[in-house]
Amino acid sequence: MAEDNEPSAEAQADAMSMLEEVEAEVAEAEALAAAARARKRAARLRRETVREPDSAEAHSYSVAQAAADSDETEVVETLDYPVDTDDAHDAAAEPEPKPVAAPGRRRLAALPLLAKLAAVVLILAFTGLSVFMVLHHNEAKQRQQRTAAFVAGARTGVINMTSLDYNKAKEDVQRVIDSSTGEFRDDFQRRATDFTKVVQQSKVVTEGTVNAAALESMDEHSALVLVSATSRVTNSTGAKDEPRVWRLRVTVTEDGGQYKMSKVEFVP
Amino acid sequence: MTDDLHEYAEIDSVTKEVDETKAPKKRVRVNVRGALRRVRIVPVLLIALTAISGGVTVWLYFKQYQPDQQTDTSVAQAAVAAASDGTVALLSYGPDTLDKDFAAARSHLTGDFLSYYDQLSQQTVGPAAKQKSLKTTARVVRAAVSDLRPNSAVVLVFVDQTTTTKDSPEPTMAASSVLVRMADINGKWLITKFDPV
Repeated sequence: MAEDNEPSAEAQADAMSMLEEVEAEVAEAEALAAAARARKRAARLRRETVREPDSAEAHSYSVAQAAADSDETEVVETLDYPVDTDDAHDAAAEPEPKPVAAPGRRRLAALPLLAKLAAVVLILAFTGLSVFMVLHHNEAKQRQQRTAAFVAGARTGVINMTSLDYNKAKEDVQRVIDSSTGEFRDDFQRRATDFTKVVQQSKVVTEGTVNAAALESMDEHSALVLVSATSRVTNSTGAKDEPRVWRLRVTVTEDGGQYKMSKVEFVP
Repeated sequence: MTDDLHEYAEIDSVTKEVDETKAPKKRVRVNVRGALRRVRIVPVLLIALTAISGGVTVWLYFKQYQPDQQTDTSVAQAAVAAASDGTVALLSYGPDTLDKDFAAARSHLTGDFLSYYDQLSQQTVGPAAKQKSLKTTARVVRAAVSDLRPNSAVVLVFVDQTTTTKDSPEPTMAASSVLVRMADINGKWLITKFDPV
């Protein structure tokens, strides 16, 4: 910028030509507000160049530079690729800068309507199937849980029924009553006093184990469970650890969230 | 100098104005890009949703639906029926029909238990049955599934067995419980283990 400080006719001419250039560029760019302001400024600068060449030259250069710079950056930043100033506005208005768009993305955007429809149908079908399978699974899980609960109820009932100790006959009998309901409970409760006496008098100790249990059938509130149980008995007549195997068909009823024996059948 | 300052101020305002005109243009560009993204988001979303829903469906099918199907009530009934038939075949034989009876029993067995049965029937049961004229007939009183998993099951079978021999022609009855372990081999339930309890 050494020549800036050199007052000469050449420099002045340069300044004038530059001003013209600025004018032209500004006009071409048609940056509406900026262009108008720049033109106004150019007119003023031209007046001042005539009146005061030195400073005007330097300032006009700066303005020209500034205007040019800003114009250039604007174009470049807006478009992302080199383009003639003439096309600046057209190009800027164009929605898709071509070099930026990847071919794959363009293809995605161009996914045909039929493919979109097919995708929607597939998504709906998959979602429907998934919902169906989840519901089906919940049902299956619930059935398994109920099965396990009914079988557990049968096991507990049978173990209580086959495990009696004359030393604590009352408690054991009460436990059988507690783990049963309905018909069985009523029957057992009626005979409980007599039964307790028999156990105490015969000095019976039985220890029951369940060998296997299997759910035969199940409905909303009750189930039939097959139970194979073994009881080892010791009594006053001298029988010791004599295993007796029982084949039972136990009806288990749901009673307020609890699964209790309501009927015990011996399968001969 | 006053003019100079004035001019600088003017320049500043010009630059500022240029900046101001630039800003909305930039915003326009961002909006245009946003719009482009919005246009592309539909196919991308469709493809992603198709893949996700398809994946979930396949996963559910193999991890939940198929095992559920393989352990449902009808499968339990099939396993119980097969265990009952197998138990009857295994425990029913007479001295005159040994080969036929053993062949019938074999068709219900598989794996190690089949080898064990072959050995037992040829070396022990067969000769004993012939020697004592032992005839036995099994009847399943009750049977139910104790445990059911995909492709395997345990069935509790209550069996009554009526036996006559040369020495005791009056039929004797024996009641027993058997845990029959089953495997689903190519759609057929076969006995893999036979444990009296």
